[in-house]
Amino acid sequence: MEQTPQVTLADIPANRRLVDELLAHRKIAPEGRDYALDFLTPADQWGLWISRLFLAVGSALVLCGVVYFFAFNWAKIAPLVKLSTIQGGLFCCLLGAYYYKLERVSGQVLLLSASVLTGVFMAVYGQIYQTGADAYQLFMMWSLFIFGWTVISNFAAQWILWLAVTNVFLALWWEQAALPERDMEALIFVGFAALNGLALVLREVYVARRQAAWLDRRWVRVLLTIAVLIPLATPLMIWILDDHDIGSSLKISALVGLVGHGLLYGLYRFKFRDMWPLAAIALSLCIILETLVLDFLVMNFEDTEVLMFGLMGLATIAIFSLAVLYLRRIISVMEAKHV
Amino acid sequence: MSRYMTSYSASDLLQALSAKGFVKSGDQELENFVLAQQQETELPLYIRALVGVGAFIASICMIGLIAIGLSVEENEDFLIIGLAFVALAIVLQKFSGKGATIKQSFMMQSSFAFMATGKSLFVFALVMIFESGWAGTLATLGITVATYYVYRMSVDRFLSSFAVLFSIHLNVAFVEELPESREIFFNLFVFCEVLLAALLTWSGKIRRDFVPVKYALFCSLCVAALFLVSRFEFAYAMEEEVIRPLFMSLLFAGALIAAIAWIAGGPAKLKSEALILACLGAAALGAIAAPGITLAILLMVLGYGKHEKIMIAMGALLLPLFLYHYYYELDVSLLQKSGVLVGSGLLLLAARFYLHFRKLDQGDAA
Repeated sequence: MEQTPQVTLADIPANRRLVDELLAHRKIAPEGRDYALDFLTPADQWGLWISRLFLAVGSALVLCGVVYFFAFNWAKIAPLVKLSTIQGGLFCCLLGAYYYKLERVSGQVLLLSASVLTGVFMAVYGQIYQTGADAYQLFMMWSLFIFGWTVISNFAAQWILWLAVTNVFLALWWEQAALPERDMEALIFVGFAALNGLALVLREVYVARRQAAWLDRRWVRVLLTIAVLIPLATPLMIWILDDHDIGSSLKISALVGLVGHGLLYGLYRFKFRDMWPLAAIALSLCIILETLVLDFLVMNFEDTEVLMFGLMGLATIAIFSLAVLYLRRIISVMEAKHV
Repeated sequence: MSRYMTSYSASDLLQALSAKGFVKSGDQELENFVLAQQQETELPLYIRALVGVGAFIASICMIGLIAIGLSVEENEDFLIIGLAFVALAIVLQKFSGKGATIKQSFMMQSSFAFMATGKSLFVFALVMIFESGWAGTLATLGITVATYYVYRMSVDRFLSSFAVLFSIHLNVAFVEELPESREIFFNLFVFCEVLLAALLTWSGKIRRDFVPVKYALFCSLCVAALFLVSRFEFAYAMEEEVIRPLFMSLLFAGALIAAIAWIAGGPAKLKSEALILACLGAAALGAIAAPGITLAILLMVLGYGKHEKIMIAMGALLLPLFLYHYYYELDVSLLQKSGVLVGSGLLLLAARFYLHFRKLDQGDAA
């Protein structure tokens, strides 16, 4: 899909392909190419990148190995040895994090490892003593224990881990402890949206105040936006598709879903101006509208499938065309950088 | 990982080159050349994705409409309808105009949906007429080649090229006529894909029109690696037909070493200590027969070296998937698997600390 070019040299990203094209068409000499490549990717940047890659993958492998080891639940190992091994690992990670400091990636990764080991410790503890506690309690305690570390971590991955653990806790607690009446079941969507929404708002506030540069990564924003959009859109779609058995909680969740979409739109259209979250919101709205049209067509044209398919196809083209058109029109206004 | 990349524009690069005397300052011809390479500005990735999702849903509806509504009984009729849809898609695109208007947006979306529907019907008809999976491959290839330059939409180019490669994979893996030579054909196909992907990645003379083919090739290689590790889920063959992953693993390891040499500036640069270590690591990966893991690392290295974030993201997403599959498929107990995992992890961490010890990671405080 192409657009009329209004391109200047400053808009074109310099990359390896451009350098290769310059050489291939003899616009620069091989020495010029070598200089250009070193300019784009200096050797020390390579070393740093590889070093970080090794650190990330290596830590992930070790942690997976530890989880696998305790999942094996080897009976030959005494419970005390199991627990003290994990505690020892946890203590070493914390000591390492203290030594390397949390301003460095090494320290942050070690703190993240300690957070994972906390969960492993609690799982093994439950395995040994058969406490009979519900699974939600494990995730609740895990979430509580690592919250303090998360606050001081200055590390986006640590926050994502904490949020994932807390989301699982919320889901399990709702199912195992809250035991809502059927009429109240759908309120869980509000809970998920509120939790992830709060994380998103905090991220925006702290980044805007320049108090958390480490959170200023687009992937964090996009991931959190999607984590908010899913619980906002789901009750709306359930309401549309299941219109004869709607409880008041579903109505509330759906209303929150609508308002939430509006708030997110306002946030990224006018306050923080970012096209990626807006595209995610547009996609979510398109899917909700598609569900609405599909439900309408199924209800009214059940016997005339030809008409149903035809109208659905037309409606889909119309809905997505409008979404694309809208996004294209606001790109220039928002001066968003393209990929 | 992409945040460790530098981010320069073509303007910055030309200034840096002119400052060192490699090009003339303010060379209009050179600037025009760079601008000409960037003939058309693609729409952002998120909009292309949105267009793709819409076209996918719309094309399903259209196929349903044709299958039920037109009461088509002859396969030849599907062929004609498919071609008519393709022609209609091209006409719609030609007359859609430029700029962000309602007419243009609606016609572009319709055009892509018609193209997807037309190509699907065309391929379906030929498969049914010839009752052969290879007919589907040839049909996909034919319609892709025929429309590649006429229908200039990168999403369509990528999806069509990928469909061709995917159908070859399906045929090589599932067609019953290949019980004895399946492994040879599979490895030969993957080898050809690697060669073509290397050519498209390496050569600066190949036009940007073929970038979608390059991405299709890399995606197809991911499919091949995934296919090998998931053979029981795909159930592509009986036990005696199992394709061994060693060839692909060595091939990808060779490609990784070649990529390292290419990015470093040529085979002569491989003499440095850090690059020798990197090559040894790549060879070790090849020896453990884990093609998916090697491919994921290859994608990340190429993505970083070429400043292409999509490739880094592809590699980063595939790495955990392949790691999971690799250990899941290992025919050892959970206890031994955990030992292998911890051992490999410690090896990588040791390599990382070695780099740090030798001060080879001097970007900033690591």
